[in-house]
Amino acid sequence: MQELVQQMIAISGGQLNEEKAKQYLKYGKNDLELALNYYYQAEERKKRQQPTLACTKLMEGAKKQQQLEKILKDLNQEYKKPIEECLDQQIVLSKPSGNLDFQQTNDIEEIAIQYAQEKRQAKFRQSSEMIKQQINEEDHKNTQLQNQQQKIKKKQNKIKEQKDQILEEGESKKNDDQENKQKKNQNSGLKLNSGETTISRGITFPLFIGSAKIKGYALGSQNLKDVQQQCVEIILDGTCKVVDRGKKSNKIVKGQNIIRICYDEREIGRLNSEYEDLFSPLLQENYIKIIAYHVQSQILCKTHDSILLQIDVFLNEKALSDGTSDQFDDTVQEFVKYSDNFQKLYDLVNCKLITSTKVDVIDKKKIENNNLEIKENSNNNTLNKSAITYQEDPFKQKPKQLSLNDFKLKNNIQDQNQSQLMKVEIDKDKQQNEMNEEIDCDQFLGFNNCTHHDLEMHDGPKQLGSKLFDYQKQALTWLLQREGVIKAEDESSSNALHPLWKEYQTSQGVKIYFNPFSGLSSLDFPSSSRRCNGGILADEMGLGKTVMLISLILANPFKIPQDYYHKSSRKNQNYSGKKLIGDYVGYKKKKWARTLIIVPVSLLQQWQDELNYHCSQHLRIFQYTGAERNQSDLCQYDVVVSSYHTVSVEFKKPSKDPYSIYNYNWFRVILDEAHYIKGRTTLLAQGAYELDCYYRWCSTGTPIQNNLNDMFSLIHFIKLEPWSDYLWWNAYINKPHEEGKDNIFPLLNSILRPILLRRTKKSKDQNGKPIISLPNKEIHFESIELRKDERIVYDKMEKKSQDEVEGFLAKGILMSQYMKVFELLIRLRQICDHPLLITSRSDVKNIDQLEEQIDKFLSNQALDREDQEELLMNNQQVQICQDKQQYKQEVLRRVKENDIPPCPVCLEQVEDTIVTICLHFLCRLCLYGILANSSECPYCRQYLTKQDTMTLPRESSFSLNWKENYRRSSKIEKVMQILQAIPKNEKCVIFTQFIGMIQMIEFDLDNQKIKHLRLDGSMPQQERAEVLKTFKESDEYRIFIISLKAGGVGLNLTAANHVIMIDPWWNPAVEEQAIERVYRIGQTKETHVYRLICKQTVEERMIKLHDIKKQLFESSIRTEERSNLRMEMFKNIILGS
Amino acid sequence: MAQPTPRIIKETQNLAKDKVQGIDVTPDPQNFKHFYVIISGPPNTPYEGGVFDVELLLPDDYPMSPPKCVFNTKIYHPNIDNLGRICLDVLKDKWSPALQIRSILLSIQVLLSSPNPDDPLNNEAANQWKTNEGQALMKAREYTQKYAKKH
Repeated sequence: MQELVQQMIAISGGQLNEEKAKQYLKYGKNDLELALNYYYQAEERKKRQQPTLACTKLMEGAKKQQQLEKILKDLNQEYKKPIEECLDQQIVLSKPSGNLDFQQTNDIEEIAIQYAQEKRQAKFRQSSEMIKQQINEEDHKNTQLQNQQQKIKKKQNKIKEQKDQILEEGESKKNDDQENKQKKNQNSGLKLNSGETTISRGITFPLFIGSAKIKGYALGSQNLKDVQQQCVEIILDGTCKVVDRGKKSNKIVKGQNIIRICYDEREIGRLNSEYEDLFSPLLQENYIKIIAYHVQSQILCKTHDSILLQIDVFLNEKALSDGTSDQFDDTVQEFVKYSDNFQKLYDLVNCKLITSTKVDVIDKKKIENNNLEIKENSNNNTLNKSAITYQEDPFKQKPKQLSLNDFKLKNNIQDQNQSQLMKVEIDKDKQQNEMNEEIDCDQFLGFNNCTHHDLEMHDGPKQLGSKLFDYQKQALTWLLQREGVIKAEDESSSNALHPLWKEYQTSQGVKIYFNPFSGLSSLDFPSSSRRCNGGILADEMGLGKTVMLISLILANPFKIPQDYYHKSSRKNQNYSGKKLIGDYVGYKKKKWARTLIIVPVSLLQQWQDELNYHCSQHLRIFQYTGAERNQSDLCQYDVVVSSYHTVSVEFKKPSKDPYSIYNYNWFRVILDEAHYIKGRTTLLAQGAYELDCYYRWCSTGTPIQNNLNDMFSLIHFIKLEPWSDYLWWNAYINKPHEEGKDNIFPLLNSILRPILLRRTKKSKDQNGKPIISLPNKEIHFESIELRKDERIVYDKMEKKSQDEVEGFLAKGILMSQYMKVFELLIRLRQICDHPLLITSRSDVKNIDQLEEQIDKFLSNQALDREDQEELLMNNQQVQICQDKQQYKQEVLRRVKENDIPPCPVCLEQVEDTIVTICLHFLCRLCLYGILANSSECPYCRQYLTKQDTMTLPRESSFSLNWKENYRRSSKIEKVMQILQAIPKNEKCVIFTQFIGMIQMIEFDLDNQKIKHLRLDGSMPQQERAEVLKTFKESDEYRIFIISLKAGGVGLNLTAANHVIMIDPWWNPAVEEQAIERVYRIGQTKETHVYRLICKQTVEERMIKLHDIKKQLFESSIRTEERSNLRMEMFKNIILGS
Repeated sequence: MAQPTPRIIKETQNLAKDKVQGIDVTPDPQNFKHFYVIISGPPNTPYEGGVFDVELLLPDDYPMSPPKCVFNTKIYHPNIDNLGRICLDVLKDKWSPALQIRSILLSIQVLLSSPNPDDPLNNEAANQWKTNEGQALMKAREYTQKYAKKH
């Protein structure tokens, strides 16, 4: 025995150790040759396994293992049977069959090979037919294994051939095999070396990133015997042209990249098209290098038989960027094209995506907890709670959120819960308040992630005269964090991964960072810590943003920033972060000024008042508006308040004045109501962007009004890299969004979270208490029945509008008549307010003109008529209008009241009105068409020539002196009733959209000798401030009439606690804004809102259609749909369907 | 085929919207200028209980020219001849563009209740009307029973 072992070791050339030899001896008893044979096969097998090791890892899942074990068991049984049947010859082989080395051969294919090899041994002594028969029998018995066995049969064929060879060449053949293997390895080594191998930053290029198994197909029938297990070449053929045979011209339609599998300069097949698509651009651009080995195919191949290849993928240095560039330059553009390819590549080669599994566990637990909480306390604002859980691991979460596709799959449970929470919230909302649409928007955009509940409270600066609420203190902490005065906990972890990047690890432990958005790969760690000084304070209106900002101004007083370098922005648009600091020319010789606050005109005074009110110490404030703005040096002021308008004027005509705002470096610029700059191309926005400042702040209650681009403008202003570049924004946010992909929201969320603070009035603090407590708000819907005379006017107008819209519809030109339809709607709504509003659209001159014209016409007419009567002796009784005065009055009345019936000829509304002597109204063209071959009035058959007609002035807007004809409309009646009912010590604000309505209410109140105030867009700033002050302070004035457009935003009217909304506005959010003027922080009394709606009118329909409008604001609707939807809405309101 | 003018569209819509009692108008789906009209015989006339098929065709220059109207149902009437042609002033020289299909059909309906034998188209019927009105009415009723009964 021992002797034999020694002998074996000798024969194997030291490759066998003693133990192994013994083992094999046991198997082979005395049959040394057989034992050796088996040994070599095992060696061969191992070698074959080596390239597939990576693959087998793929199958390491527990399920697969179970499956494999089962298969193995079956195989064993199966194998034993035939052996036992011919036991006398098979003693040798029975044992190895039981001892298959399972652990090494998890791969099904490997098992198959092994199994087949065992079979081969059996065949040594037994006829192969017998086994085949047996296997066939097995086939029937075990259907589950059918596929497996088919493979085995194939293997048998192969092995048969191999067997023949072995029989012929014996051991020497096996040695050859070994040599071949070695050669192959050398070959592959050579190939690698032949490529440009460079070493950069301690990493050898090309960099191995992983292996994969891919499939190709054979071309033509061929014998692939010599290719088995060999290294094959993967050749990209980009020159191949596909010729369109359908056309006779044989024109080359497109060039297609084909990847050929070659061996020994002979094409044996091609890669499957999916892999061709994946690899060809990457190979073409020389980003990757692929080394492939043949793994498995039939020896005798037919076309389209599959060939299994094992590939090792290497990244060339070219494919890697430095990983920190945020510039959207040509390189990025280039990579963007291949981002999908790279993504697939990384997935294919099984790079490990590094995510913290711990987070998953924690999150699931928290979600479960949350669910419990919902059950326990359904009144709590559950959504915000779940938002908190999101916040607690913001950075760990990020990589996960960003693997957008993965995100959905992995966090399915989370998503479901989330959506459930949302439903709960939305349902609750509906019950609570139909009007509140802000929340919907918030949920959609994930603003509720931006509540930042975990902030500490800052005590507030000493100079602040007033006391801050807790949530305002939190906001101050956040503001100071953003300004870098307080170190934020989040940001201390500066080595957090940049939100856009994924981290992969190759099997060799090299970490590769990949940006699925830009397609860039990098070895450098992309850090997320990019500073932008400032942010967006987007608390809901009425939470006291002004106070928060004032306390910020006081808490972080001016000092010349050390790290500020002026950028020559106009020259170098593509500046990015710290990187280019060296390039700056040093800051221009500009003086430093302190804080600049840009506000809408109507808020100028309020800001100044609030600044004075909240600061115990005197602040030097300068109002930079009006013609004399550039008179004093802005350095000497603590705060400069200016308006958007002034800034845009200044921007448009750069003044050479040394004291222009553009000639200073500002320590801090605050845009109040920053949605004023939402259009990024407007002068207002451009003017704001161009200011040189260190800290940039936006403050707005409605960061998104219509679409996501509104947000971009703000981000551009605060210079949040890289999103402030529109190319990036458009590529990653706007475009996917408009294309209807909803997966941008996790990304958007992660962008906004650090820079945006938003709480709503419904927000709760950590303890679940509402952050602010306001008195109750009650909304009264006042339905108004139109009086009969109003009804008549309204119905007439409505009918006319409907006819017109239907006409547009029939002609199919509705969409192009947007303005016209809009105007019709406005008319209808004005009638609801007061019919005089449309009949009295005053232009007194026109009426006078008309009167003159009629007089002239009538006198001419009389002359003509007499002449004609003499001339024409036909006995027609010509009825000259006896009473000229009567005629004149009638024409005037009809025109004023717009009481002109449709033209009888075209049945449309009369266009280019003509009036006949017989007092009939027609379109000029229609009538002249008739008079061309007849001389009768189409109405009354009176004798009529062109001389008997008068064309009215085109603009048919005339007016009565409404004051003479004034009579309360039902709506004004209602307003007066409400005003009567308000207790004497409470004040009321009336909002309307129509100046005429303001005048009428004023007129009515004057008649009653009730003191009142008004504010509209035409008032100069000074006057506005006075009016606001009077209303606040004087008890005499209890009624304040405000134009919705002029005063709906920003004003603070908490002195009143009654709001009358005279007319509904398209956008419920605008109404909400107006109501917030009164129902805001500082309101102490119970607030009543009266919304006046006329029954069975467009107003009622408008309210119903507010839902559609809500949809418009949920940006789920794309722009092209939006205008359609809006038009549809108008149509429906008018037609009442 | 040319597009219907806005006026024709409007008239067609109005006819469908506000129906005139006793008159039923069906536009020809193939030809927007062609209308099938069913006029019920007005009560208290010899045509009571009858249903008269009338065809109406708008000329190309409508409304500058009057529509063309023809009775498809045989009727005994001094102003309507054997071929169904109608003698009605508004269909001829008294046409005005301010008139509409509706007004024409109403006029026809009125013509049925008040025949005008002084301006005859069917001379035989006109004479009968003038000489022996009772017999004429009877004959008209007969015709109605015979030709204008609902099926």
